[in-house]
Amino acid sequence: MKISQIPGDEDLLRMMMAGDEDAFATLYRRRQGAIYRFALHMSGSPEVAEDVTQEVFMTLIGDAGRYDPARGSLASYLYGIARNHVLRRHGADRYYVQLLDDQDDEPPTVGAVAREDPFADLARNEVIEAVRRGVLALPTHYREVIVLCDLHEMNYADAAAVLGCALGTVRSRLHRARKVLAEKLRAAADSEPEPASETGAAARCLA
Amino acid sequence: MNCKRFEIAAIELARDPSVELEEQARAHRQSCPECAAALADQRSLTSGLRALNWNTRSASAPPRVEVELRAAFRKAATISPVTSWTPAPAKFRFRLAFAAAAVVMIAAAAFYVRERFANPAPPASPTEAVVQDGSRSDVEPPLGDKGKDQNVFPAQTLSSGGAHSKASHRAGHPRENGTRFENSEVGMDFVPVIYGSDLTPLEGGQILRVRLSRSALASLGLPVNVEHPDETLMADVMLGEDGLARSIRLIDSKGESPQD
Repeated sequence: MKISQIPGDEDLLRMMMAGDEDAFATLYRRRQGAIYRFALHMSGSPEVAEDVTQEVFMTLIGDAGRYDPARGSLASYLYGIARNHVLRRHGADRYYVQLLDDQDDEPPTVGAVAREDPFADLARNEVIEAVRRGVLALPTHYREVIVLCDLHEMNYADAAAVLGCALGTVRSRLHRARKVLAEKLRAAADSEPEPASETGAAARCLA
Repeated sequence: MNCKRFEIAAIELARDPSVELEEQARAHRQSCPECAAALADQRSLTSGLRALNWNTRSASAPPRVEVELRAAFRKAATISPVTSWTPAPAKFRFRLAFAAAAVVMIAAAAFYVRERFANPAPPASPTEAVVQDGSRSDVEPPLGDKGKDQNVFPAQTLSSGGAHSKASHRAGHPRENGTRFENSEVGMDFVPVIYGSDLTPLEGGQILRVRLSRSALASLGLPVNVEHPDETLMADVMLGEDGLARSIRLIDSKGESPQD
């Protein structure tokens, strides 16, 4: 298939609004992963991520006419809906406290990659878990810029469209968020020298 | 370069490792161990975030979500199929709703008058007497007390839609085509409501007083100020025997121009 024959998001949206279920399915498969991961990174909960993904696309089904191409891409629009649902479900601070209380849970195995060296796998998973917990412990306005710009590799302009703020605000929040996150990980690394612990992972992260 | 500037640069550098340190930044890093450590921390953080991203790169919603969404899509498409994508601005939809409401009001008024028209009463007002003559010029109300009433709108001022209105009529300009009503109400000229060329000649009719929004009046060609489109004004609608509105005019009961 030629690239020019691949319908864009807005083409799929038009077809979907005309009742084309396949167009909706194509659009869903194209965008659901990013929306799910955004909600997962923001909430730390696969259940919440699943619910948010469903709600985002239910919103699209119910009122697709609200999307205005002049205000940004469809992807940004979907991220914006997801963000609203995440914030609505959990509030600003409630759920990250809950997650901090939940530190004995198993680390996520989604997307885990088999390595030949199990010790390297263990160390790597500990680092990932330490960073994941650090991100979840950030205040919401810092967490969302880290998730969008660093984890989803979104540029400042698109992130500003999702968050509904100025580009400079995104940049300054990201700088502050990264500084806070690095300080948290550094403090954790300095406080407990035990290598197998989470802070040991933080130490490796900031080694 | 000072520590503050280096800190800002360090984060951008850490996010994009392909960018090399400028000469000034490199010199500052060598002279400031704290900033060198901060840059190292930021680079390590970037590595950690990329590892987290890579670790969850294949995470996605379970297949049942798609199944449920497709079912919801089919249901929604059955209930209210959308055939085109024309998102209209809210302001436009608001005005459209007002215009539709105005049309419904006029139609209801026409129906009401048509029901009552079986027993037409002798015209009590000069205006109604003129209507029964049938000609276009007769549609215009007769002249009242010329030059005596300072509360009467000069007809040409209103119909031209110009800016001057209060000043001229309050200065006592001679009235040409206005009708004075009871309670200091003032009517301007009738403006024909155009449907097409297949209307029956106007041989008789009735006048119905209604209140319509400014936007509806403007859509009928009356010179009103539409800055407050939902505000209503009093108007006379002249109805033919067939029940259709033939012309309309504004009634001013406050002594103010509807263009204000």
